[in-house]
Amino acid sequence: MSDTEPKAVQLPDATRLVVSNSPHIRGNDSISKVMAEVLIALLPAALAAVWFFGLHALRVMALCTLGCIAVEEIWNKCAKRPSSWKDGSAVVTGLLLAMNLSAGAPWWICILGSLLAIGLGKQIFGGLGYNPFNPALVARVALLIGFPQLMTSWVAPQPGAWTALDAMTGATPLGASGAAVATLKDLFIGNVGGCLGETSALALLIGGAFLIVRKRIKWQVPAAFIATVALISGLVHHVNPALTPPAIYHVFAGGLMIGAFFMATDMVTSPMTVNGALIFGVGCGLITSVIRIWGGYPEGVSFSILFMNALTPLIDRYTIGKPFGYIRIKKEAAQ
Amino acid sequence: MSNGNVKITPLVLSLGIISCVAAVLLAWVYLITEEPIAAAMQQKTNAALNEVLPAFDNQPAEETVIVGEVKFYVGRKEGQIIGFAGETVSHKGYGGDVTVLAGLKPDGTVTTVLVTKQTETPGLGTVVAERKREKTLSGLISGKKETGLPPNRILDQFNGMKAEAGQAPWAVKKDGGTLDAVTGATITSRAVCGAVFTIAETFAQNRETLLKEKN
Amino acid sequence: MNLFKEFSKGIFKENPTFVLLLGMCPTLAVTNNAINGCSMGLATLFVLAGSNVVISLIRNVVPKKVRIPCYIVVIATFVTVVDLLMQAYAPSAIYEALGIFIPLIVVNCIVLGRAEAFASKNGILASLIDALGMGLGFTLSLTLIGGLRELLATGSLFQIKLIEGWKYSFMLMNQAPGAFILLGILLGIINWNKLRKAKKDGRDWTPPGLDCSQCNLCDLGKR
Repeated sequence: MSDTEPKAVQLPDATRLVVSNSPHIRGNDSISKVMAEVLIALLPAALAAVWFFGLHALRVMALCTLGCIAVEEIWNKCAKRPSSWKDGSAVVTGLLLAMNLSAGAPWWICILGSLLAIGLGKQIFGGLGYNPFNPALVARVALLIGFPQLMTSWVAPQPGAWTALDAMTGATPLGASGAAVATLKDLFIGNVGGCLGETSALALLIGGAFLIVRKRIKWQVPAAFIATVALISGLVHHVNPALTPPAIYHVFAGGLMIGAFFMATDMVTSPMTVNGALIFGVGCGLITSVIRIWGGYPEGVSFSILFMNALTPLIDRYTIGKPFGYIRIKKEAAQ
Repeated sequence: MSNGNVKITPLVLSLGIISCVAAVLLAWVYLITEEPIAAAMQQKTNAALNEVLPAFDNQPAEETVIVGEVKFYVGRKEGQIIGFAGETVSHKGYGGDVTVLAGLKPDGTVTTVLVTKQTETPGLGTVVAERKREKTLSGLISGKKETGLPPNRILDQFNGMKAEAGQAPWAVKKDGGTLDAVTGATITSRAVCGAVFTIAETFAQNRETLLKEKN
Repeated sequence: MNLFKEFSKGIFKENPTFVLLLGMCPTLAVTNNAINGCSMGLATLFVLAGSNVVISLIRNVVPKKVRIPCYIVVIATFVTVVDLLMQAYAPSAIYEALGIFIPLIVVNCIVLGRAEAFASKNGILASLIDALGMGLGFTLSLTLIGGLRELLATGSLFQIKLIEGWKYSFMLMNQAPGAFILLGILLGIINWNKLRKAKKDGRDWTPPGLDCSQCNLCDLGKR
């Protein structure tokens, strides 16, 4: 490209620039403002979790949030970097991590999760904005592979009971016998066992709608994600009902809602362009369905988002728009 | 590449000689190790049978009867039948097929259950299948040696069970049965349970013919 | 020629795993515990020593044009010998755990790399010392990675439980991702340490293939 530039124009060092669509207008958003809105959006889901799982949910959320802040600050101290917890990204990561844990998670799982999320997921790549993967998901997947028994034993929901904690050995509604495990109404409202954030589709939809209205996330990502999962699982269920429950269970059960609205849409790790967002969402949905229906783990949302995170730079590269004022040269003409 | 001024003979000759020397060396090593390797293989096939059968003096691996889905190995001592080892493959595992080997007394009582081949989720399904003994530091210092088969909560609950021909299948608690399952690995537990029942039940149905097996 | 220097360079200065980054396949694949890592390293050490000596012996006889095929034949022979010997005499659990990675020593870059870079240019004794140093460096690295993974995964070392009664195992470290994560962290620590030392001595050094000025991980790269 530099060949076509006039010689007099000195381009800035391209390796130090973040490339995105032009024209650029500097908004008055700050990281902390964005994070505050994400926290507000997570509030309904958090409240639903406390309603269904009582104070144990609160305990897990507090431990994870404080753990993430602590790890972030300790890391900053060791790497001699300015303190950064006030930008709120560690709080969001902590809360999202808690949403991925069971209400019965022991304290050391929460702390280890925080260490994995902030340390392995974010700071080791250089901090906020440099991480290729969603930190909370890195921790979730590491814990899921690391402690599969702990991470797949859920607590039974007990609406309104504050301190009761009943271990439950329920099969996931994503198994072939999904309908036998939970009714559709329970799934939608959240009266099922699972992670804190996996349960209530309603609360997550409210939060997701808020983020979309505030334009904090691209609606194309969750839409493409959920539509793809629904389409594939619906088709497979239609062909072979014994293999997998109907599409509606795939949409409302498991981590699809929280994954599609809160994890896949992470600003740092998802594509910048609209077309990229569509590709990203479809890819997530495709991998999720394949893992759920044929894979070795019951839930594939987190794996699929991490996988697509890895592809994000590639997607961005091929979907990036032309800079303002440039004419895209056709291939034939260029040759 | 131009072959004009390169003589091909020394190239072929040197490579040929090196290959010949290598072949001779390999043949020599092969001859030396042939016997130990055969012994090691034999021991490996017999290792699982040794665990599930009482001390035998025949070659159960060579004396097998296939009934339906189950392959029975006959264990004998001094010509008398002292036990059977039934092997079957369950296709209901979570990550693929699960191969189960169960030792049976001549009357059909299950003595030991082993999972010999599986591809279940590590840490979940494998909990059902693996028998592992852990050495500890204090155990090493005190010099106590534990022998025998390491215990497995799920596999050991079949010990002493006996199936009648045509009876209702054994089931895990979640399916209304009596047997424990590993939390988070219900499907694997179910597959193992089904496989052990298939072995025991097949044996009960064919007990008379199996016991008449001639040496 | 300083023989001790030839020996020790394989362990520290030119460690095949942590400095040359050779032989990554077995490094990542079979180091799920210290015993597997150690036996894989020893098998490679044997092949390396044998092939280096033989190649040094024939280095003046073999025509240049066919040297690589000749080296490969020599290396493959030693690999097959190791494979047969292990099958016959090693405990079956170890042989099974290492599995396909024993035959795959033949494509391990360290072996052909040392043959081409050292044994084909040096005498028998120097080649043997070089092979022993490199092999030992590889063995120690694999044992280190295997031991750390085993410790982090199950709290045991050389299959002996260190923390009694610890019933959880962190399966991530047992499996492939754990190998990648741990190797990455170890390489990071080693590079950081080198960078720190270089800075202290006033030398200019950057880890090969990396650009420290772009990284926020520590403040050493900032000019």
